[in-house]
Formats: sequence, structure tokens, C-alpha cells
Amino acid sequence: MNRNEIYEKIFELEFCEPNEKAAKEKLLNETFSRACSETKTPLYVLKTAILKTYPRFRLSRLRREIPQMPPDVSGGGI
Amino acid sequence: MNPTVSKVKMGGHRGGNILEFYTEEFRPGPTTIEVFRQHLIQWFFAAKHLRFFEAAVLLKEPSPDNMASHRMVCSALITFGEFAGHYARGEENLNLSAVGLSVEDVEAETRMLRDNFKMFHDTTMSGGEAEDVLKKAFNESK
Repeated sequence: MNRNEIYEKIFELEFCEPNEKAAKEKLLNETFSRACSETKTPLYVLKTAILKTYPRFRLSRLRREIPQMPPDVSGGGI
Repeated sequence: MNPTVSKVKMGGHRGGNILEFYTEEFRPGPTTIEVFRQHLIQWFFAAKHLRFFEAAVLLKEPSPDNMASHRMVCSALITFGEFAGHYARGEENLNLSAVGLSVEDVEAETRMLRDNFKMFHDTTMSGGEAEDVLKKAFNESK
């Protein structure tokens, strides 16, 4: 397993359809659980590290899949 | 008449119970079931929108204003998610399946929003420390 597998599962949960959220979260939790077991890293530590580094992965994937980011969030406020 | 009776205590008009103050003060007002369902659909959209904002604005030297906006909006979305999950579990007539949703979907999105908050406002681990943890865990330095 590598860290990208977890990043991919987070991305799928974030951007899936609303009615898929619970199922995607279950897959993410299973992936985290497997990663903890394989790497012998506590869940809290692994999850914090993944969450801290995930935004760069997300940006890269969004740029690949949505070259034109929604204009109202491309530099303005919320 | 005792003039002190009508005085507002700490926590507003609720006998000084500060926890009750927060649950009441930030509880969304009553709406019809149809309007609530619309709010719920818009909430999912807003969560997605927040993630676009994070990607577009918060990665490269974000301004304090943008970080503060994110903290506030993310907190508000989490609060609504908590309310909506609680309301959906208690309201028999809500029938979320009519719009293709379930209370589990609402709760999962709320937990993801908590993780979105941690991504940008949790200081228990720096970016460098996070990289070190992941390189060691996944044997990336070899």
C-alpha cells in the first residue's frame, strides 16, 4: 500500500454524490485501518499526517480533472 | 416586584446556563420539511464549494482573512450538519429517501467536514513532520 491509495479514497468521499457519502466513508475507513495495520502506525498519527498533506494531492487531481476551476472560488473569498 | 428578576444573566434569558444558550442561540429556525430538504441539498453543495475554495485559495500563502473565512464557514457547515443529523434521526416525517439521501450520508459528510477543518487549522503536526511520518510509514525514503 502507498499513501496515494488513502488520498484517492478521501478525494472520492469529498467529491462523490451526496447519496454515496456513507458508502465512500466506509471504504476510506477500511483503507485507513489496513494502512495502520500494514505500517504499524497509530490511526491518530497516520490520519493527522494524511490530512495535513492531502490538500496538495487534491489540488493536483482537481487541476488534472477540472482545468478551469469554478471562477467564484479561483481567487476570491467564500 | 424584585428588580433583579427581570435582569438578563450571563447566558441570556435561560437562567444562566451557558451550554443551553449555545444550543438554543445557534439552532436553525423552524422550517417546513420541504424547505429543510432543500437546505440539506444546498449544504452538500456548499461543502463541495468549500473544498474548491480550499484548493484554489488556501494552499499558497493564504491571507489571514481567507483563513478566518474558512474557519468560520467550515464551523458553520459542521454545526448545520450536526443539527441536520440530529433532526433527521428524530423527525419521522422527514423521509430523506424522497430526495435520495440517508441520515448516514449527512453524518458522513459532517465527519468529512471536521477533517477538512483539521487540514487547515490543526497545529498538532507541521507539514514537515507529517511528511516524515508518511515517508517512514510507507518506506518512501528507500
